[in-house]
Amino acid sequence: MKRRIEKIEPILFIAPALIGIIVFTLYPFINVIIMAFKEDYNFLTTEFTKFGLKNFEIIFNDPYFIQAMKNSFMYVLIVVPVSTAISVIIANLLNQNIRFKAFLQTSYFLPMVTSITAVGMAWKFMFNYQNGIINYVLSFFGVDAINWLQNPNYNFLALVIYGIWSILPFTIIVLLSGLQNINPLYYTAAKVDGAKAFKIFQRITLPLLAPTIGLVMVINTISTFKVFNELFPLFQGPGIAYNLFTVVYYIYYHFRSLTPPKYGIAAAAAIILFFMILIFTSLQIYIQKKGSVYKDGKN
Amino acid sequence: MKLELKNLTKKFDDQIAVDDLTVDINSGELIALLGPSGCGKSTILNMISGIIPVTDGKILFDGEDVTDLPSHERGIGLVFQNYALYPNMTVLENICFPLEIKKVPKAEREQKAKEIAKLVYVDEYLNRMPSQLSGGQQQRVAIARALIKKPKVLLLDEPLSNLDARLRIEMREEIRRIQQETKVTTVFVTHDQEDAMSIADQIIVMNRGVLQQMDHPQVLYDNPYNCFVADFMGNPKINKMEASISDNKLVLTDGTILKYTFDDKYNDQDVYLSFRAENVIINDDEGIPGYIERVSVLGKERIIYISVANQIIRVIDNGETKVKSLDCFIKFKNENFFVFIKDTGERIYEKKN
Repeated sequence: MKRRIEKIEPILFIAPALIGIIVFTLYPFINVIIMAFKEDYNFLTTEFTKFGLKNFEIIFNDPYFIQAMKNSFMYVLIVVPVSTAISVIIANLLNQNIRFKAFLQTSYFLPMVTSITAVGMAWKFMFNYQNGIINYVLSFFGVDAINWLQNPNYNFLALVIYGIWSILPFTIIVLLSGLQNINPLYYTAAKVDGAKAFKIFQRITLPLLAPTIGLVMVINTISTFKVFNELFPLFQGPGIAYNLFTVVYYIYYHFRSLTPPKYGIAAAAAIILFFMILIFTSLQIYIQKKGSVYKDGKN
Repeated sequence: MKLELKNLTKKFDDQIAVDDLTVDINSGELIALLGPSGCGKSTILNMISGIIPVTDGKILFDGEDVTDLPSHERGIGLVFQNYALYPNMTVLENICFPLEIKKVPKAEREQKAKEIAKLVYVDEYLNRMPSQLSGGQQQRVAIARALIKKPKVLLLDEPLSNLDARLRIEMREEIRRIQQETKVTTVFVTHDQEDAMSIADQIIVMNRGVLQQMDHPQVLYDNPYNCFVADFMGNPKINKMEASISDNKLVLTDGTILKYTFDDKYNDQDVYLSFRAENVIINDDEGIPGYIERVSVLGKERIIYISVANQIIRVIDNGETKVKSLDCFIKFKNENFFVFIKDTGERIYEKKN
């Protein structure tokens, strides 16, 4: 009797969390996989003709899906490295003994706690063709006013700029904590030997920060592959000329369509996205493991 | 290289960390900066290395004023307490790093690094990462990295404190050997008087930022200037008995009057009577009366605990002492004892007629 209680007890403890995970994560995940293979599936009537690969055939022949893949890839390939590079620089500056350090560290964190839609509206004003501050600043460099939001050729660039900006705070905070884990004695030692700031950065800071950079890049790759929210405040949809489909927007678009029902197509696209992220991040982690030469960065 | 500190002072806000320190260190000597924690010894080292600026005073290297020079222009080699080996570089890269900064060609600096590595016995580990080395090996690499620039002064901050007891003895002999082979003027910081005594040519004893005494280890031990130095040097600790001087005589707390005479000006002063454990002769006939409380046998010697004037003193004895009863007398070998004024720690001497 007592034995049985001992066996049940731990299950009871984890039950609340476990039930949540099963209902809201595991079940939908499995359901999506199944859904992707159901042909002509109707969500409301749960009718489908048969299991097969028709959905995948459809999306790979859909120019919008190809476009979405291209956009998502480009977005990740630009936003992740650029935002990481900028963040490494800013985090380094914030890690120095500067005035208003606490204030600056807080203000860099602000975008993270403000609603992406509200901030997006602000960006919409900044991107404004005639009155936006971005065009105003660019005018000082002799750049003609760019119609960021109305000209399809610039839509993607606007999205990328906004995307880079919105993941900076998270990236900076993670990198800053990585920097603070580096024993300041190394810097003292290098300075005693006469190393200049750049040399110290190149030979000590960067190698010791590499594991953190790798980590934050993996996290950011996953999150930027899912670019979707960013489209709404700036364009209320996939760009002014339907040229900004991303994979997640494509999924959303097809889930929304009721006649004819396209749940299967959306589910198939979701599977493709899942594998894209899986392969991409595995590759990243593999490279990172191969490239890292030391184990203990803290001591 | 001769190292001179002239009226060196360091204040942190209003706290005086080092107060008006003047010492001369001769070329090629191994110097220990010794004192309890917070005595300012690390601060002195950091001022010599240029990591922290001085508040007042001068630092001279071979007569040249380096007080305002940045660390890397002083020609110092510094070994940190935690070694501070770059964990992302191999042993070889670590040793080479100071030359890499100086833009010495790779082949040349690796050649030099290998020579130094041989000197400190780490030449077998050149391709290892620091995390794959033991504490003693890391220490050796850190010394090699400090030596590769051919520094005028080698500075070691608590070089032995991160090592276990056995390795500690081995490493301090190594530091001595390396110093002897390179003949580099070396200053090391330690709080352990045994480390300082065993390898240093001269010891600088500090307390609360003030120089207490600078001398050869044996002199410090045999002839301390004040009560602090006497207490700090030696293991077991020096015996220290409360006493006072009245009518020019030394009187113990139980009223025992000793034969030693002091100048009139010391009358009615409270003093300490200090003496080393090995400088006591126990006998049946003459001296200060005491009672043998306990004997602990250490093998080659014994420690005898004797209560004298209600205080316990320790006597080291090599087994020769033979007494008839536990009630005994003690006297000092060659009158070897010290008397210090209780309040100031100042040493006073017997009046010689």
